[in-house]
Amino acid sequence: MSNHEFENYLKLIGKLLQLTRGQQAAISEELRDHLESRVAELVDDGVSQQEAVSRAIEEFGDAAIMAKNFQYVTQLKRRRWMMRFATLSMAGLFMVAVLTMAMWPTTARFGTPDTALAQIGGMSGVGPQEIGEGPSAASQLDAQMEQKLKRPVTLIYDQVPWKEVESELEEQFGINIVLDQSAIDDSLTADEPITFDLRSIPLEHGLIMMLKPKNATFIVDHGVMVVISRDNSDRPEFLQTKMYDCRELLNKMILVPSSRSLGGKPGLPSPIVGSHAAGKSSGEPRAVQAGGNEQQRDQETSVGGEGFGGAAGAGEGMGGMGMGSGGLGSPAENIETKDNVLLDLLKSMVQSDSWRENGGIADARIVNGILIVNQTRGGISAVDRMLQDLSFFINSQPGSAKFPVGVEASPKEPMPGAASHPGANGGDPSGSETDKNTVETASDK
Amino acid sequence: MTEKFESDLLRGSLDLMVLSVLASDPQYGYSIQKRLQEASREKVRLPAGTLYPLLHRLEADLLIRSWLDSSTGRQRKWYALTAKGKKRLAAQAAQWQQYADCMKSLIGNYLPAS
Repeated sequence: MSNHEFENYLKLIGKLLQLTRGQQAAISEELRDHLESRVAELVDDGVSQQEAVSRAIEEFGDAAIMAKNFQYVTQLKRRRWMMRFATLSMAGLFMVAVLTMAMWPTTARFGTPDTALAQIGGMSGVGPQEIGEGPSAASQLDAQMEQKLKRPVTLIYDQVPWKEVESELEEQFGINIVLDQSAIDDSLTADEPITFDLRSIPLEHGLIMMLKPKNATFIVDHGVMVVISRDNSDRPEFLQTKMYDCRELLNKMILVPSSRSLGGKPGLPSPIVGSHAAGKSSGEPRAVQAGGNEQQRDQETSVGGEGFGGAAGAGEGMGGMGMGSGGLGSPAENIETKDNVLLDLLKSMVQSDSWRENGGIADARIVNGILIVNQTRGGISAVDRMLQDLSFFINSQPGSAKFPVGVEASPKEPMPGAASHPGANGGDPSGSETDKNTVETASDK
Repeated sequence: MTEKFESDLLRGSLDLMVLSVLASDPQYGYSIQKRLQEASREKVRLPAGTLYPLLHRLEADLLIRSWLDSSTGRQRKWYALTAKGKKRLAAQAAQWQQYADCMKSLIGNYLPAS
């Protein structure tokens, strides 16, 4: 059956479809079959051929509408295909990333690929990695508040009651502020007049300074700013927890044996004595002798496990601690030791009285390279600052992050914080003296 | 009574209608249209401009599959349910049953007495 009307109709649909020639042909064939079947049936029922064709085409409906419907299906297919492709590509990229991270040597001097170290001191205030569906709702609210606290503000008040200051800030920043009646004393009430003048300062610091004369400060809880007395800021309920991804920082740290008298300050190259040659000897002379021979070469090149072998050797030499240095160079122990170095540095440099070990209430731990700090708000901000500056320093001077360790690191042993402060209860002074003397003697030979 | 259903009423159920027509044996486009018409006593007349795009979409969704066959004396595109299509049919049929029951209990009082 070759009817002009038919062919024109099919051609029109084909044109409107904007498909490949093959696809057009396939659809046209199918529609032709339908029309022909319908015409045959109508003719069987006694309708004239001409009449049957017109009716069949009429029943078929508007060509443009059919084309549009087909177009929709084609777009759907195309979109699905692209989605599938995109999902596959993402999965592929993810696999590559995971494999790269997994294979990357933890002791590499240049560290792992830039992970989330930028988060240190960063604002988010939530976990370093998403677990499951993401950070907790409370943490997300807190993070929003932390963002707002960074925004600049100009605070100028002359004898304005606190409640008005409060509502003005609430309005301006879209935040909630409450006076915790159970944790505030008489020095700040809703009617307390505030007089203050400070321009273009981050909201956080402006508020801290404004509240200070009223013996008050604030914490953030579930995204709400809670104003409390300064005396209460170290109540357990007001401590805040923050996590820092320190894996890269830890990777870049290099442990070297302490020798204060020879300039054992972080950042300055410290001489390394008794490297791998120290072996199991526990006697001073032999360890030092080995160091004397190889001192120059080891001074700048020791990294990672080897460097730590040196540290262990030195420990033996100095304090005569008598532990073998056999397996101490393994990466796992290396990292474990760096953890302690970092923790001790933190606890001796940042509000040292506030930590649990020193009779305070704050705590800090490192789990798999993630530093978890539970501190007062002020303490957290000090930790932020120290980590930010430390990682900036280490990143800007690659290879400079040498941390002197007097003896094998363990929580109770003297640590770099102490070692960098002459007079602190650092490494055994007599040991260091001996060390210095014998090294000099060795070099003189 | 050959009054047609309103198209709004049909829209949500066309997929299910076509799937159920294909449940027992393979069909081609024209026969699907005829079957629907007969089963609904002329109340459902699916225009080709709706039917064919719908068939192609169901095929893209892997609910039906198609092949060309000329054993009836004419080159035709035949359609049949896939396993996925059978599952979809069973699930949608159950859902529609509940929907119909629900509607019945809601509008029962307003139906003309028969």
